[in-house]
Amino acid sequence: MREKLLDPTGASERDVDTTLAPRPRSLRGLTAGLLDNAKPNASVLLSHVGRELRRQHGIRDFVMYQKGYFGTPVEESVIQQCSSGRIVHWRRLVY
Amino acid sequence: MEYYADQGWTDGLPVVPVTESYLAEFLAQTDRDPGDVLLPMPQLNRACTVRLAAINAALAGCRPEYFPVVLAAWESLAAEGYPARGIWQSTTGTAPFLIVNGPVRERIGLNSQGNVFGSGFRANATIGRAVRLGVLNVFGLRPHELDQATQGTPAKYTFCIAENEEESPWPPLHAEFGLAAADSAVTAMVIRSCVHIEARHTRVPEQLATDIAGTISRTGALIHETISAAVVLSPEHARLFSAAGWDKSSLRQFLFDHAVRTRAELTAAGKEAVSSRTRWRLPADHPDALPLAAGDGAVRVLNSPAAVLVVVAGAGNAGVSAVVETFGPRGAPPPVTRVRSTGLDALPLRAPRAGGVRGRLPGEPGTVALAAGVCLSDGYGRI
Repeated sequence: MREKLLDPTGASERDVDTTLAPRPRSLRGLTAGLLDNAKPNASVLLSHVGRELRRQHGIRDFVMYQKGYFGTPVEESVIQQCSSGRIVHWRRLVY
Repeated sequence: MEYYADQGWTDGLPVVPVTESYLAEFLAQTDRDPGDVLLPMPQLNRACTVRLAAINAALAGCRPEYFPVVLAAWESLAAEGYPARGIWQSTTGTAPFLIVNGPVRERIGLNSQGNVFGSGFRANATIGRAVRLGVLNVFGLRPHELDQATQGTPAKYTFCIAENEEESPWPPLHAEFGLAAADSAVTAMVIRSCVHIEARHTRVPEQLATDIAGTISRTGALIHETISAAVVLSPEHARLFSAAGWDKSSLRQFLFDHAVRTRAELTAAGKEAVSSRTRWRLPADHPDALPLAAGDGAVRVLNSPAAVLVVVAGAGNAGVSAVVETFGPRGAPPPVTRVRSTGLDALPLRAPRAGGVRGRLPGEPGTVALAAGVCLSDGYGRI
């Protein structure tokens, strides 16, 4: 009798949808949401990113949001603010 | 074994293939429901359940009877706080550190004596590894991906010790924090480094404690305003303190008072000030820096005596101890967690030994053949 080897990741047991949101074809004319993860210098870096997105990719404007703590998910209230308009979002992924 | 390696489900070392029937031996060690969540990480949409902890414990090479200790380790890590807040994704590459107390140490052969921290004992090696494999596999915290540690530590393979209660002059760690000495417990913390103290030269407790304080107060560990530590004293050093009338509290108080750096020493490393946003150390001329306190006096690197834990481990053959640099300022009671099992007390005592594990028989990938002649011979009549 042969037995199946078990998956230690739990992937087969997960039922959460982790497919990505659709990507826009172009950034021109869009408003970018930039999420400051509260790390030192995050706001400085993201402000520069926002200006570069405007200069190089023609976004209309950018809006800064702030997380409470870098290690945990962004608060639901911030997500609600973000999703209230047609905004393309970036997250700062540097830890 | 190669199947697991091909899937990327190992820590770089060979693992034990796990089948449903083998897993059942682990799940039989606990009354908990296999679906019970031990540690959730909502930012990753992942959670470690009892079942997943058992699969990774088996994968690590644990014996089934180690599983209650593995469960207590996961519960302790959940209570510890930093893992749930994403510390294992951070550039600060911490490892889980497990300290085990109580009768379970002898029953499953956990080493608390010579070469503690080092290899050679299956229980130590595999229990620590069970947690790390869970971190890699269940949460997907793999190096270069979601684990962004700049540099890791060898402790990320495994880091599990038992306290040498028998050769300690003081109460064990779990009894300090409310459990009975006859209880078995795991205390988990996340740590950066394990640094040795060579001190064979003195019988004066203040000199020995000053030597230890010098390591605790090194500027390289000072990312935050203050540091924390678990001091692991060899029995010889513990007896030196005890003979002079010191207990764990006396040592903690001395270290709190003497783990200091001068303003000039901190300034030379650019760590004399503290950020108003994060409490991280930085130079006084940084835009985020809080104003410095008046005076050039000594700056304490511990926020309280409670930021230091003291345990006893190692052989009683020389004056060598260690400082385990725990992450974060700390000061609250550590997450001492009782080991619970259905039949732990019924287990016969087992001397520490490197036992054999079930080998993989040839066959198609992803499966393993059950051979009636393979017997784990664990003394309980189970195969």
